[in-house]
Amino acid sequence: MSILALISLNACEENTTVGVDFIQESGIQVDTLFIDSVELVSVDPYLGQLSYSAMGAFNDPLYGEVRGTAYFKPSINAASTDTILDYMQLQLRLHVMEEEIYGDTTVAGEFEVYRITNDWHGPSFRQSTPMNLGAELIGSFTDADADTNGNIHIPLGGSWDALYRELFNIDDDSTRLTRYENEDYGLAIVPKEPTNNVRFATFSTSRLLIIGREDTSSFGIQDWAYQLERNENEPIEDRLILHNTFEQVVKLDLQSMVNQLPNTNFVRAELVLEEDTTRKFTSLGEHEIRLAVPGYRLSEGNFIDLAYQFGFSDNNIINGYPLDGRFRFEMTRVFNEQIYNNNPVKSSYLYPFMGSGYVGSNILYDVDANSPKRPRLIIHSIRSEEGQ
Amino acid sequence: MKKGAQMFVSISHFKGALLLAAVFILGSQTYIGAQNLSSNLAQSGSVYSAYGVGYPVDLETGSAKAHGVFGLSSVNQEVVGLSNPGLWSQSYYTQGASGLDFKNLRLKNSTTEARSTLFEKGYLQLLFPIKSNELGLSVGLYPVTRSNLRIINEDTFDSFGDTVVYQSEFQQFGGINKFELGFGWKITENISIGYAPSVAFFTMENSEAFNFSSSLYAQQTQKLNISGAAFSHRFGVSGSFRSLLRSQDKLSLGATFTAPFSMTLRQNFFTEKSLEVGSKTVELSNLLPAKRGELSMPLELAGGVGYAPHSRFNISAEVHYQQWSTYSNTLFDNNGAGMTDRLRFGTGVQLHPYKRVQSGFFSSFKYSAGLSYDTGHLTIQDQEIRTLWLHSGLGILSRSSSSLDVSLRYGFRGTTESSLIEENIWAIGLSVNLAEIMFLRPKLQ
Repeated sequence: MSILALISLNACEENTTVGVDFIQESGIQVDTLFIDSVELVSVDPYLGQLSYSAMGAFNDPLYGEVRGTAYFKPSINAASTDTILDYMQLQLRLHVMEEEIYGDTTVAGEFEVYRITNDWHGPSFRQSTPMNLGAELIGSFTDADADTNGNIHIPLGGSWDALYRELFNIDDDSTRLTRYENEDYGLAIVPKEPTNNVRFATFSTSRLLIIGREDTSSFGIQDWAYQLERNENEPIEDRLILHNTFEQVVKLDLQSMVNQLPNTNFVRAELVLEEDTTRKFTSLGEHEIRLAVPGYRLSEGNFIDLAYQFGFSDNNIINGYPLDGRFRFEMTRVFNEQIYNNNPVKSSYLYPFMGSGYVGSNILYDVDANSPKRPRLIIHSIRSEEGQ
Repeated sequence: MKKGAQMFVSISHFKGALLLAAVFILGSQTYIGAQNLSSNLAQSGSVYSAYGVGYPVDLETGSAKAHGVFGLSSVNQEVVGLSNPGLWSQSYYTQGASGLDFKNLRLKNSTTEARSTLFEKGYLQLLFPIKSNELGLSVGLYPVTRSNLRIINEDTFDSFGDTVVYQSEFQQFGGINKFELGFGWKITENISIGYAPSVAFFTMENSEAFNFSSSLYAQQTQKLNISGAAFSHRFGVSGSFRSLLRSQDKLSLGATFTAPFSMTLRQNFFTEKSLEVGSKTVELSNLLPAKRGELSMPLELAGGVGYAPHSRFNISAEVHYQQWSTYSNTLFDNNGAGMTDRLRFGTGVQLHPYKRVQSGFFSSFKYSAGLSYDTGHLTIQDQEIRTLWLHSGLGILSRSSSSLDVSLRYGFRGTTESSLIEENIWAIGLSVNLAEIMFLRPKLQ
């Protein structure tokens, strides 16, 4: 076999090219290994105290119905310096992201505020955390009321108003704080019909306002979280729908993949996932939008808490950034570790990553897809002529 | 003569011995490293050295290179070189000799051309007259084959619709060298014989470095090291006859035989990999079809005749045969080239005006000229890779037998037919021959 090679013989002063076709040289060969099977695992995500909290409802034609309820608990005064007088009003100034909307942009979302009746804590809050709400309406609003800064002013009343005033006005700090912790579990923002979009609140910049005649005091939000309810559509054959809330996470058997690698000196090994961009771009109705999933992540390691690893860790991560409906993961180092450093590949998980609480989903070609777009390893290796 | 005087060594000549030893040791180190050092010098030699175990290196020593022969007959009575062990008896002085070459190659095919330069270290030899003009001992280090190649190839592959350009730089350096220890013995007034056993050692490094236009692909370098060693044997005979056709004339004959030899080759294939612990050299030998192989080197025969009608002129003709058709290497093939028996003919003349008692600057030198023709040991795509050399040279003599020989050669090798390459080679050679009386017995006191 001869390989047409353009050779450049570098001289001291000149560098020109002579074509020869009789010298064998190595080249780059590209091998594709399709992944035969994957395991799907479910992970209960942490959804408390994220930068953004989802609230609203949207029936996504592709990914199914999603309904988000936000929970929050305002701060109370730590020291006895103020008093809420009878004529003062309690109001939530809720900040919502203006651009980031999941769903129909033309229909205003309507929400109601109810009391939470069980204890909860944002730092350990998960999707599966049981939450109970009272029946009493504490407030209501529509996202159309948002001002130009994305703030919605929501008057709060009812039994929560009364309790908060009572606790706020307790002179003894310890008693006030203890009773507030034990008796008030905060409020829930629940979407109501005909809401057809999901908005994202930033509770870290939201405030509880105590509005007097001449001045207004504000208190931050001490804890917050959100939960999603999904009602997924019928599965689509040969497609894999993944959400960044980890209802399904792909577990890969990378060790067996390493064993299937061609016996070559590979220079790059990459794992490739492909989106079903046709369905992705044609499934939404007019005026409906989704948040783009910025990328996929692959976590490789022996993890104690998968939800923490997937949601917050920056270690043991391989990022797969999207380009033209494709996610490419650089696997070279991981494979080299197993082959050349006696460091076996550990458990590996693939999931769409949208940090900070945004909600996103993705549809991929499955391993059973009769398509060259199904998940695969692309191996670039040196096609060596050595030793022949 | 006093007792113990035999052990006396003349201090001045001991300095000469030290000088010779220093030349040898320094030269050896340079030589051993030379073929690897080349990779740092942006050099490339003949593209035909890519085949087999490298291109054969002719054992031309001293001024022989300047007139197209090997020096098998040594009719000019100069310092004898490595070429013929049968000549090693003919020494009165302790000799040290070394040579180097600077080559400029113009390579062309039917459409384009390239230039390349190459600096090569040649041979090293120390010759000790154990018994003056009767028994001599030679220690030598010299190349048998040499590969010196650097090829840059550019190619592309598709990556999701993007074209990734990559450049692979292939370098091959190495060859067979011999470390030889032999002797020459004058068995009659006219005939001498010699035997030179040696250790032939083969080292070859093939490296390939890949660079990519896309930052997604890291640079890769992989290296294949091949080595082996074996014993080799060389025999020589020389004859010298005076006053045959006229008084003061001289006829010299010489012949050598190099036995074929085999060696076991071992190869190591490795590369650098980026790991958690940093960059690490890792073995890729499992990718090789075999880690060991057998190399068989061919039999060689050479013979020559030289005639000097008087001391100021001589003419020589020599032929060298290598049975490359018997060459085999189970470790790697010849890249599609066929090995064929090689014949090299050379003839030349030398003028020695300095031997006439007369003044004049131009009479102080030795002048040489000749030509040689080499049928080559390669047949590629039915084309024999032949070489024609034109030789010329100038020798500068010292008052002792030391000399400095400069050769200038121009060669034509190969062909542009069948997409092959024709090489036009300018080669400047420098040979240093030091001769000293090292061990001198004091005269009777």
